[in-house]
Amino acid sequence: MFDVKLSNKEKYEESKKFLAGKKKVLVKLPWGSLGLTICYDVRFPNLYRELAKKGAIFMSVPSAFTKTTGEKHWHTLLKARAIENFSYIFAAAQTGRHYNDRLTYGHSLIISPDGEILKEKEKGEGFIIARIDENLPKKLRDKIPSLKSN
Amino acid sequence: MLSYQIKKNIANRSVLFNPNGRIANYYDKIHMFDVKLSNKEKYEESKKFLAGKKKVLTKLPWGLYV
Repeated sequence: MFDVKLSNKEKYEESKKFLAGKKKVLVKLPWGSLGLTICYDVRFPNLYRELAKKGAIFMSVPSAFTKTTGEKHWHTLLKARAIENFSYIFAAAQTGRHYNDRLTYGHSLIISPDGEILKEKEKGEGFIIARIDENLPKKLRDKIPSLKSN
Repeated sequence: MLSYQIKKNIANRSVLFNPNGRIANYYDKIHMFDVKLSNKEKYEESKKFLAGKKKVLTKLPWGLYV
């Protein structure tokens, strides 16, 4: 839950309105397994590590990152999750100004398991497409077997 | 023919000295770099080094140093 106080003006209390989930979710796709995560989850590396160890090679991270934190952390956090788990990251991101002047950062991303930004859409509605090599996560994991130890 | 066995009795160790030059603490690297980046570039740290087992935290005057 995004219960965060960035300043006296900018506070969030997600847990006031939302129930926190309890289950990690992995979905089998024709090309490999996809781990489902959302937004603030990206700050909890253990979740991604667990999904990767259970076989995920793709991670989805649909988000409404605040502009304040997005500018500083968004790309770095997602790249780190991609590299440390050698997984593709699909991060659709809300962008713009919302009710009560809330600002979101945008910058939807597709990141390779090597940490390379394959496609990025900074703002506006739309979609991005990138070519995926579903064998790349395994290739990288074989080279650098960091997922095997703790 | 000269042959010898490398004994695995060394660690990849980071040593912390205090201002008097004494060893304040040390850390033995936990994760062995056994990595094959290509056929030409391979590393097998665990062949020569013993992996550490302990996480090391040291108190400094200003906070904890990991």
